Amino acid sequence: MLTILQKEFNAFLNSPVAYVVLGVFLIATGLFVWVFPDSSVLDYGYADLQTLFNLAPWIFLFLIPAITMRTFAEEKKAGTIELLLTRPLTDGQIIGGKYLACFILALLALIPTLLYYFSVYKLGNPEGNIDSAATVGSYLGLALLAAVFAAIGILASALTRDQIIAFLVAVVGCFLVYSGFDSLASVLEGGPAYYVSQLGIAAHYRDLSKGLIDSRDLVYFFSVVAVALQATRLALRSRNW
Amino acid sequence: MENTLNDAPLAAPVAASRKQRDLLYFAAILGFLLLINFVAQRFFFRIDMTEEKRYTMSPATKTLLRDLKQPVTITVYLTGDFPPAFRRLEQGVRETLTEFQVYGGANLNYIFIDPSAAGTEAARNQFYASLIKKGLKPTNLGATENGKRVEKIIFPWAVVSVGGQDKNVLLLRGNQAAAADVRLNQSIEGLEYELASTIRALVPGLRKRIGVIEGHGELSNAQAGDMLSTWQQQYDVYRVTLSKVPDLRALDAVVVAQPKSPYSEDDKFKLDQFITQGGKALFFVDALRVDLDSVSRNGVALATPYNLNLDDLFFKYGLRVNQNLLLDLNCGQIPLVTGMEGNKPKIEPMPWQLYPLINKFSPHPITRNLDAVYLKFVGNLDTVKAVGIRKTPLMTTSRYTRVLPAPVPINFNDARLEPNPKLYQKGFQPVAYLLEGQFPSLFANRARPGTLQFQPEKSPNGKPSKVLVISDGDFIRSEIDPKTGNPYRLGFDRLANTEFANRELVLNATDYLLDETGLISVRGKQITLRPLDKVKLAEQRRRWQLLNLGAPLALLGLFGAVRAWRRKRRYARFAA
Repeated sequence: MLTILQKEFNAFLNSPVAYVVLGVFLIATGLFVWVFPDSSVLDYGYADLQTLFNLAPWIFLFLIPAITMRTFAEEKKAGTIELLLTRPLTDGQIIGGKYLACFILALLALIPTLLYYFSVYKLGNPEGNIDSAATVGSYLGLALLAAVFAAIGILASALTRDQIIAFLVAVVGCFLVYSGFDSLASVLEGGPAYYVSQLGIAAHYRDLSKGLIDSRDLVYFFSVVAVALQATRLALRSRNW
Repeated sequence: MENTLNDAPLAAPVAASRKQRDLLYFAAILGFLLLINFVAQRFFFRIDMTEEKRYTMSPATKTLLRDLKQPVTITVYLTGDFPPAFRRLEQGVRETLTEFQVYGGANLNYIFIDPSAAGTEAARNQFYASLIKKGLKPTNLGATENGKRVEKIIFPWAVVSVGGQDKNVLLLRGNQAAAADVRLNQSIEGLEYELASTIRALVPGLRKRIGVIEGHGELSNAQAGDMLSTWQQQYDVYRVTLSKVPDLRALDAVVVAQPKSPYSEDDKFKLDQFITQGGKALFFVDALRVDLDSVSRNGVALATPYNLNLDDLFFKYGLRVNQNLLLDLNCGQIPLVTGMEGNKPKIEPMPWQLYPLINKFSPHPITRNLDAVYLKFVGNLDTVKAVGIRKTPLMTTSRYTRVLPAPVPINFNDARLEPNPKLYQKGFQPVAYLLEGQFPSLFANRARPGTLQFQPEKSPNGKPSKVLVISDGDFIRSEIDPKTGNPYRLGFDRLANTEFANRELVLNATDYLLDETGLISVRGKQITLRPLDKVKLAEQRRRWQLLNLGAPLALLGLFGAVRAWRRKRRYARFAA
């Protein structure tokens, strides 16, 4: 599994596409968090990074499918998937390796945003007047969100042999699971609306993004990851049916 | 691709069983995960990572919401395009309501409605009018946006509906004397209490009974009218004549509102027995009689001590209501004729030090984050020793206070004089005390008045109680609208055209005295204000923007370059 992980990881970072994708991610978050007056921390005037955590799901929606799109689709197209699958590796190891590689890459993209924390820390009145523990919690929430999006992205990639289609399916899939249920809930009323919205990621990410860790949200996130990865496995095995 | 039994009789069972096995396995995992999620809904924990535990609801709130039997709908009108400080308040409301939903579940629903969302000007104004008609008073907001002054109308209100009943909640509270963002922060701190207590008031439950004592010249139904109707939303309120009831056992609390004639020993006995057996009491008592009519007629009048025959009772409970009047430089105003304009008298509001404005409160749940309250002719309170009684001063006058012992000459002309600050050196005189504990009976080891029945030293079913004493009877007296004869809202000052927080304080106090769930303690919630350094922002804005935009990209570029270089070297070595 580690070999797969390493291979995927290096393959991504060696392609110039990676730098374009990560660069666009950093420019977009940078502009939203620091420049655009409607969302910037500077115009908000309070020492927290809520902007980043509210915004990140929307940027992840594009970033993560871009990372995951090639995982299976490319191998299928190049025919290397047969080679890979006939190796003495279980399906689980292959999927796990590729998944973890994508997940870690997404986390890597977040590392430069730690600079935002440093800046807000410095700009606080008095200096350092930021709720650090809450920020750590929010980052944890963001990491979990990345984990879910990566799993959905991997599934999308396993369903097709075209990277572009894998990307689009992943974006649409992530979007639907993220906010589709919320939209559906908004046309319903009362009790059902509450339960429907609970099916979506947004309802569970909301708490986590504030630094509030709820065991139900954790269980939900791990479940969605598990379902998506199991579905990926199903998609791979279906070739033998 | 599917094999049917007809096509490939030999291969089919194998292929089908593999597919079946995979699908079955997937279904089993799905089922297992659903089960886990289902169980997790029942048994869950929440870790609040924030420093001040801002998202942690109090046990009282949680119980209230878990025990909801019917749907509660909360409509919030505070949303739209706001300056940041108000966005923060809106955010606070959202956060509080999402937290509420965690415990209230499907029984708790909320919606946000932007009152300014209407497409046309006319439709918007019509909607505004419909909100105002519901009693939601808008706030005019002057804010600076991109260097321009903009005027905005906002409705800082939520409406809580339970079973067809509505109640409005004002979301913008706090001390008006504080800076705007401090005040908004105080509003955020108060959200949980305001919303939870409103829900509680609407959800049918056991209503507590309050008795308002009469028979000693206490405030009339009209004078105490606003407070009585405010109480009635949550409590059952009765007027009680002490001489006509054997005891007060049927009540949970009694209110003594500005008595003017003495309490008989028998009346006092009933009060004392009620309190020593756990009954709660609110006293609004004046030590000195001020006859304003006489002042207007004669130009001057003496404020002389009342004889209420309650002093020994208070003394036993650890308090002395002093026979003096406090003059405070931080005060309200009275209208005075300051001269003639043609043949019409010219009337101007003048500061009147005998009407102190109080904004010095203790951080107690009753008074925390309260706006200023209005007092009229108030004396100070002293504490004396009383075993087992905890005494909390709830509010004091300002630093610039003068104490005049009785008899005090009251003269309107004094308002024309510039006060001499040297005389106002007695600072911070307490005017409200909260007493808590097991109250000793005034009649212990004494016979019940009018009988030979001796009272035990310790009341047999004595329970701890709470008593609030405010040394100003006017505190819960509403001004009467001269046109309609109806009382104004308590704390409304016609001259200043503002409403002071008297009503809120009394309501908080009643909640504190009568509430066994401890919901009122939620008012102690604290949220740290974390502003950015405005000076630094103004000076170094560009620098921070550049840093945060540029540095991550530079880091990425560097990372890529190092990788490329290392790869090149590695493959170069291979080639060599």
